Amino acid sequence: MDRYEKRARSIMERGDKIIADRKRRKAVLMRSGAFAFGTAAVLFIGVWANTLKAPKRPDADHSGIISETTTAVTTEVHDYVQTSLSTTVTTALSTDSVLTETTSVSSGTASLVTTVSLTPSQTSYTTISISALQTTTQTTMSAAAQSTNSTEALQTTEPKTTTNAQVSTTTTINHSTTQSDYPVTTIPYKTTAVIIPVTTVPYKTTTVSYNTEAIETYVTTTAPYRPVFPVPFTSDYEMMLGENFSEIPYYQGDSLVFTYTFVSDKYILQEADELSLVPHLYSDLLPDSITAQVFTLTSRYSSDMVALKYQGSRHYWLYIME
Amino acid sequence: MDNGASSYLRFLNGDNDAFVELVREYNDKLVLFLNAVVDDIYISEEAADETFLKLYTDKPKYKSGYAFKTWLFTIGKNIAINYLKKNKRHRNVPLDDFFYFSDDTDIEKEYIQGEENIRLHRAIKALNSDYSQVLYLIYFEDMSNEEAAKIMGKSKKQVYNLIFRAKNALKEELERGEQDG
Repeated sequence: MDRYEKRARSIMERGDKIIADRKRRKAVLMRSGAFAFGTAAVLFIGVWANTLKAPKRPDADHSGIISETTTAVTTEVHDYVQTSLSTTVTTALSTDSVLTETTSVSSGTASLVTTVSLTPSQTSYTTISISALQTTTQTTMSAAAQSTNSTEALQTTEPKTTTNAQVSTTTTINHSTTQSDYPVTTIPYKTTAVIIPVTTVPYKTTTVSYNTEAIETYVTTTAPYRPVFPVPFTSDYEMMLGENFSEIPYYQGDSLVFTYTFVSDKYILQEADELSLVPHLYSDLLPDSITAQVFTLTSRYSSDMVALKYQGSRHYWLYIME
Repeated sequence: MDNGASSYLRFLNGDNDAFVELVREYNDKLVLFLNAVVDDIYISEEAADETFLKLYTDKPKYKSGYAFKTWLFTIGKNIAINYLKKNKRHRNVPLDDFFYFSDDTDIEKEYIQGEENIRLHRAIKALNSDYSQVLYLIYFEDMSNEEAAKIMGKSKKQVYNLIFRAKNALKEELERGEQDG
């Protein structure tokens, strides 16, 4: 072995060590990179999913505690009923929009109309528990007040006795769906009216304070339906065409036709596969202010697709089910 | 395709003996050229080692537009310059130290044979780096102006002028050496 070969062998030995070290570092980087990517992806999807939530109602600033005072005078016994509403709304997720509003109180009853917004992609039901504190106060009304039944007169009198009666009621809005339906639905608003009976006593002031708690419970969707790849898109089709849609969707009769390419862990839809979306029946779950069309996909890949269209906000969600 | 390119391609195909051939063929030439660049025989040897190591580990793509030697010298020069930048020190080694090499082999001594060659070599070493490089590449490695320009990162016209000035400087240096004695 001459000196050149010695030198070459020495360089090759060093090179082999460097190559082995690079491979080892690359393997470590790949592992940590995969972990970091996974974490980032989960965070990204989490943030992204939040942006997919149903659009808030324009008057959504009623979240939290709402206090209102409604005054009504009973007609039959000429009683004065003061209804003081203090409504507390609690939701399972702080980002959910749950609204509580009140309507006027008529004789002997107090009505509470609760509006609940549900999160897309989650089957849920809402339990609204309402406890009302009814306070009946006996007052001595002045002659002037008795003759006019005016509220000003009432304010000048002092209550003599006070009795409290606890009334409560619970109602449940069940948003769960059966397996024959699609469990992934977007239900932006669900309205229910709760009637609280109020016992009124002639010549006494009745105050009803409501304490309302709305609890949304989410139920995990089980087989055979599982959301695979929720795809948001807007009515400005071009915005999403670059990503997944290769042509502008168009209506063909009752079907929305477009070409969509995606990859899931179970199947691959190739580009240019034409998928027809047939209107589904979820429109009745939406308030009148928002027109909804839900589409069900039937394709030769035995995959199902649900899309929900909000014409008002011009937002779309597309769910691919398997 | 020259011999170097052929050996390198065989090495890329997994023949490590071809790598030995490359070292045998180009190591000394590369060291001497790099010595003209950095004026430090130790750094030149290290840079030559690093050059071959780069070939071995990174397997850079050989551009067949130039001779393999030109390509190799270009890589070597970049490595030597980076080495100098990284170490921020330019060791001025006396000429006498050139006769020592780490593997007990005196490349330069083998190369410089005879009193006349030693004088010539001393004179070349006394020139600035660009003059040393261009003289080495043109007159000792028999490279064309174009190849020298490629390695030195200059135009052919610049190399032409450089050769002219380098030859004049070398002549003055040799005459000064004769006067000194």
